[in-house]
Amino acid sequence: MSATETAPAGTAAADPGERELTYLGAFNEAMFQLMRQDEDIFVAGEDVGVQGGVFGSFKGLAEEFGDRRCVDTPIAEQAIVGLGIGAAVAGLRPVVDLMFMDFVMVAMDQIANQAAKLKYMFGGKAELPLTITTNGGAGLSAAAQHSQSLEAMLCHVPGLKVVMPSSPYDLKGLMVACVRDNNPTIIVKNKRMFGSTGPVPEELYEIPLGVANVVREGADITVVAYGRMVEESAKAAKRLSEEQGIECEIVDPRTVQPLDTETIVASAKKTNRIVVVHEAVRFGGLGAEIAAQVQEEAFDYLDAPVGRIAAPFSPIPFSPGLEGHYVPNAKRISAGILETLGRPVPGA
Amino acid sequence: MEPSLETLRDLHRRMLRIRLFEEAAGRLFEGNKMPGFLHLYVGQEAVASGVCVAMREDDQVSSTHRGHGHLVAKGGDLSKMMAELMGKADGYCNGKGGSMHICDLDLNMLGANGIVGGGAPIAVGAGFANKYRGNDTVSVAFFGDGSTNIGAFHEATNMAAALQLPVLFVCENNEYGEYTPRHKVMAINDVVDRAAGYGIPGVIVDGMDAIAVYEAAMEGLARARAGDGPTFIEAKTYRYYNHHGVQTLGMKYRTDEEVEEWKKKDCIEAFEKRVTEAGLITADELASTRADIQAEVDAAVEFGENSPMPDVSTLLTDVYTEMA
Amino acid sequence: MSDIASTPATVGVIANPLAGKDIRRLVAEASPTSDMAKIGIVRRAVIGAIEGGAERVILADDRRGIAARAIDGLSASGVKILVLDEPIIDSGMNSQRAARRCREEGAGAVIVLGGDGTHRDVAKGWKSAPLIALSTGTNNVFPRQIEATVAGHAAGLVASGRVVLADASAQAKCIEVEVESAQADDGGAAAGVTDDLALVDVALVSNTFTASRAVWDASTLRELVAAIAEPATVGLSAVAAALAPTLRTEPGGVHVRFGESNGSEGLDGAGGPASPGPDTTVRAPIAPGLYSSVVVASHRRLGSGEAVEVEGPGSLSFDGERDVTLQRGQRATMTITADGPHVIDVEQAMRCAAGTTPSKHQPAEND
Ligand SMILES: Cc1ncc(C[n+]2csc(CCOP(=O)(O)OP(=O)(O)O)c2C)c(N)n1
Ligand SMILES: [Mg+2]
Repeated sequence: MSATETAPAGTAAADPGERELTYLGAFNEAMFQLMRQDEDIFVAGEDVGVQGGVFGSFKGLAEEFGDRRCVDTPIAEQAIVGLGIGAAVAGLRPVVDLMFMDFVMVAMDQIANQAAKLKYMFGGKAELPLTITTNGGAGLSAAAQHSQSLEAMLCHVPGLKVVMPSSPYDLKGLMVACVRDNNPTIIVKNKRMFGSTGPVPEELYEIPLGVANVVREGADITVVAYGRMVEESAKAAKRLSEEQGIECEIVDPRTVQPLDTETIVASAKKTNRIVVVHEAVRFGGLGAEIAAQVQEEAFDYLDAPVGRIAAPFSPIPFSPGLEGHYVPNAKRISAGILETLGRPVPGA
Repeated sequence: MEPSLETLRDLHRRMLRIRLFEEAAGRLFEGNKMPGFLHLYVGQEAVASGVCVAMREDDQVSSTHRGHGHLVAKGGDLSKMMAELMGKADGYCNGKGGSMHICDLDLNMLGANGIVGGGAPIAVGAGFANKYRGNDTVSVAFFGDGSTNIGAFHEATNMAAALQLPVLFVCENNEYGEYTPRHKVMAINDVVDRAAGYGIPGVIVDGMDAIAVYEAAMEGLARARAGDGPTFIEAKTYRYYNHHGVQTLGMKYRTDEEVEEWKKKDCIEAFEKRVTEAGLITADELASTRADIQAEVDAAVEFGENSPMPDVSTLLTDVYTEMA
Repeated sequence: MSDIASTPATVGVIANPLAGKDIRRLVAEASPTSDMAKIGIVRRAVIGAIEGGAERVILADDRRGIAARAIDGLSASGVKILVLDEPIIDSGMNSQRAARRCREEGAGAVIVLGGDGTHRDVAKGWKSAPLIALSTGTNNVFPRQIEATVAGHAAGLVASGRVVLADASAQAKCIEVEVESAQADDGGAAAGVTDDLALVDVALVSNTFTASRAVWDASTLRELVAAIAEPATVGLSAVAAALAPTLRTEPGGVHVRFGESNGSEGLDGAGGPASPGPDTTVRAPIAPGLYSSVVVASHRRLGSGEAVEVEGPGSLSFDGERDVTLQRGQRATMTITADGPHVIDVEQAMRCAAGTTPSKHQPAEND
C-alpha cells in the first residue's frame, strides 16, 4: 500500500526494476492500485465482475471491491460507454470495458458523437475522466469481427485519446495515465500479448500520454511501430543488425492520439528514412497520417518515400492459412525496411 | 396438430445431426485441431430442429455466434461445415469465416454472427424483402437471451412490429450470456415479457422438447405467412458446455447440480424414449439413424482433415463484387 | 398477539412464474401476464395479509426474484418473511414443493397465483390446503378474479384466527387419478399405479406427446371428466357445462365421451356410454377466445366416488394441460371426491371480519 500512496500523481516512468509481470498482470495491478487509491474509480463491462473479465484483465477486483465498484453489465456496448460518460460527467472516474475492439463499432455513437464532443459542445463546461478499455489485434483465428485494429477511426475523432501499449511496463504506466486523464481515453490491449512478460515496477507510476518511446536507437532507418508491432519490429531490427549491420531506430508513439510527431520527426531527420508498421489495414491507417506529417516537417531530410507495412485491404480471415499472411510479422517488416533502404529483399 | 411420423423422424434426425456434429467438433477442438473460438450448441438442439422442421425451405434464418445448430437444422452439409471450422479451403466460407460466420445462402441460412444482436436486424431485412416481393416466405431470427439487451435487438423487433413484417423471433434462453446469469443483467425473468412492449404476441415453450417448439413455431410461421406480423417465441433451454470450448462442470458461474438437472431433460433422450414407448419408431431404427449420422460426421471430419488450407491468393478476393 | 407459544399466524404465497405465458397466447386469444404484474399482485397480497393479521409470510421463491422484489422493504413492518429456497430449475414441481413447505410450516392460509394448472400443482403438494385462489393464468376455472389486497387481507384474517376457516371456506372437489404403470417392453405385468389429481377436469386426448401441454384442438378430445362444469367459465370444462352444468359446490361431476367424428380414432369399448344416442354437437370456449364445436357421443352425471376408466393410447390433460402420456392399453381411473383444498371465500371472510356474519364456530386457538 505504501508504495501506491507515496507515488505522487504525474510521476514520470519509474525504473523498470527486476520484477516481471505479464501484460495482463500489469494491467490488473494498475486497476487494483488505482481503485485502492481513488474511491471514484469503478469498472463496468460484460463479465468483468465474478468472471474477472473474459481474458482475466479484472481478475480479483470483484472480490476486493465488490459489485458496487466492479459491475457486470448487460451486453449493451452503447449503454456501457454511455454509463461511463454519464458517470464521468457526474464526477466519477469510470473505467468501462468493451470486450473486443470490434465492439467499439457497436458503441460508436456514444464514443464519437457523445464522449468525444461533450466538452467542446458545452463550451468547455463538461469534464470527462472516462477510460474505455478494450482488446484488439489479430492472429488468433478470431475472424473478421473479433480481430480488428480500428485505432485510425478513433484517432480521426477530435476529443478522444487513443493508447496502444506495447509492453507490460507501458501498459501499467499508460493505464494509470488514462485513468487519471480528465479526457475520454481508449486504451487498447493486444490480445496476442496477454501472456508476454516484462519488468514492471511494483509502485504506481504514470507514463505520460502523447510522449513517444525510443525503444531502440539506430542510425540507418526509423521504424515507427506501436502495440504488438513493436515486438515484431524489434525482432526484425535485431536480425537486420546481426545479419546486415543495419541499425534501426524503433520509435513507439505509445499513444496514437495525441501523436508525438516531434519525436518521430526528430528521428526521421536523424536517419533520413522511415517506415511505419501497424496491424490495421494500410489504407487510411496511421501510417498515412505519419507519412504525411513527416513529409510536411522533414521533406528535405528524406532519402526515400515513407514506407508503410500494414495489413492488406480485406477483412481479417479466419483460417490460420490466410491470417498468417495477413498480419505483419518480423519477416515482412524486414522486407519493408530493406525496400525503403533500397536494398535487395531476399526472396522478392 | 399431431406431428406425422415423417415429422418425428425429421426432428430426431436434425437433433442428432447437430449433437453428433458438435461432439465431434468439440473433440477436434480439444485436440487442438480447431482454431479460434468454438461455441457449441449441445443441449439446445430441440430449438433449432423444432423451428426448422416447421419452416419451409425458402424461409430464411439469421443466427448467432452459437450458430452451428441453426445451419445443421437448416440442412447444412456437415463436410463443408467441418472443413470451415478447421479453416480449410473446402469449407462453406473457403476458410474465411470459421465457426462464427458459417452460412449457406443456398439453404437460406443467412449466417452465424460474431456480433451479439447483429443477426436480428438482418432477419428483419429479409422479412422486409419477403413482404416487398409479396411472397409468403418468412424469416426467422434465432438469438440468445443475452442478445436481447442490446440496442440492435430492440430496434429490430420494434421495426418488424411497426412494419408488420413476416418474422419469427426465436429467443434461445439458456439462462446465461457468457459467464453472467440472466438475472444479473435483466430485471425480468422471461424475455417474452418484452413482446407485449413491442405489441406482438409472445409465448414460452419448453426448449428441451422439440415437439413443443415445433408446435409453437408452426403457429408463429403461419401467422407471419398470413400477414399477421411477427411472433416472439422464448424457448427455455440450456447449453451443456461452457460458453466457449468443451468444459461442462466445475464452472464458477453455474453449479454442476444445475447442469445435471438440465441434462435430465435432454431433448434427444426424452424424444427417443417417448417415440419408442409409443411404438412410433423402433429402438433399432433410432440406433441405425444414429449410426448413419455418426458415419456422416466421421466422413465430415475426414473431409475436413484432408481439405487443404486456402491458397494465399484468395486472401484478397471476395472483398468486393467485381463489377463488369 | 402471539404470546401463545404456537405457530405464528402464517400465510403462504405461491406464485407460478410461468403462468400466463404459454402457447395459448398464439393458438387462442389469451393475454400475457408479465412478471411485473405478478410482482405487484404478490406484493399487494402480502401487504393485505399483514394487515389482516399475518405474523409470518412464507413465499415460494421462483429463482427469478418475484418473491424477493414483491417483499422489498416490507419486512420492516416487523412481520417475519420467509422466502423458501430457490429450486434449481423451473418446473411445476416448484409449486408442489412450496405447498408442502407451507403445510410443514403450519400456514393457516395459502394464497395461490396462477391458473388452473398452478392450483393443481399446489393441491398435489398439499391436497387440503386452506387456499385463496387468484387467477393470473390462462384457464381460470378454479381461481377467481379478486383484488390481491383484499385476498391477502382475508388470508391474514383466517391465518390469525380472526376469522375461522370453517366459516369462510368450502372444501373443493378434486379428481383423483390413478395411472396404471405402462406395460413393460417385454410384456411383463404392469407394476403399480401413480396417483395424480386435478381440480377442474381431466381429459383423454389423442396426442401422443405432451409437447406444449395446452389443449386447443377440440378434435383431439376423446373423453372428459369434469368436477366443475360451470357455464360461466372457459376451458374444457365449458364443454361439460354446456351439457350438464355442475357447480363447484355440488357433489359429483360430468363424464363426456366425444364422438368418432370428433377425431380420427374410434372410442374404446370399456365402460360404455351411459346415454347412447345420436351424436350432438356442442359449442364452447375451450380456451380464452377460442370457441370450438365438439361432437359429443354421450355424457352423464358422475356421482361422487364413482370411477371412470380410460385407456390409452393418448395423453391425459389435467386442468387443461397435457401432462401424462398413456400407451396403448394403459389405463387410468378418475374419481371425483370432495377432498380438495379448503377454498377460502374472500368476500365471506371479509363479511365475517366485519361482523355482519356471525361465526358458527369457536375461534380456534390452535387447530
Ligand atoms: C456486440 C457484442 N458484445 C459482446 C460480445 C461477446 N459475446 C459473445 S457471445 C456473448 C453472450 C451472448 O449471450 P446470449 O445472447 O445469451 O447467447 P448464448 O451465448 O447464451 O447462446 C457475448 C457477450 C459479442 N460477440 N458481441
Ligand atoms: Mg444465453
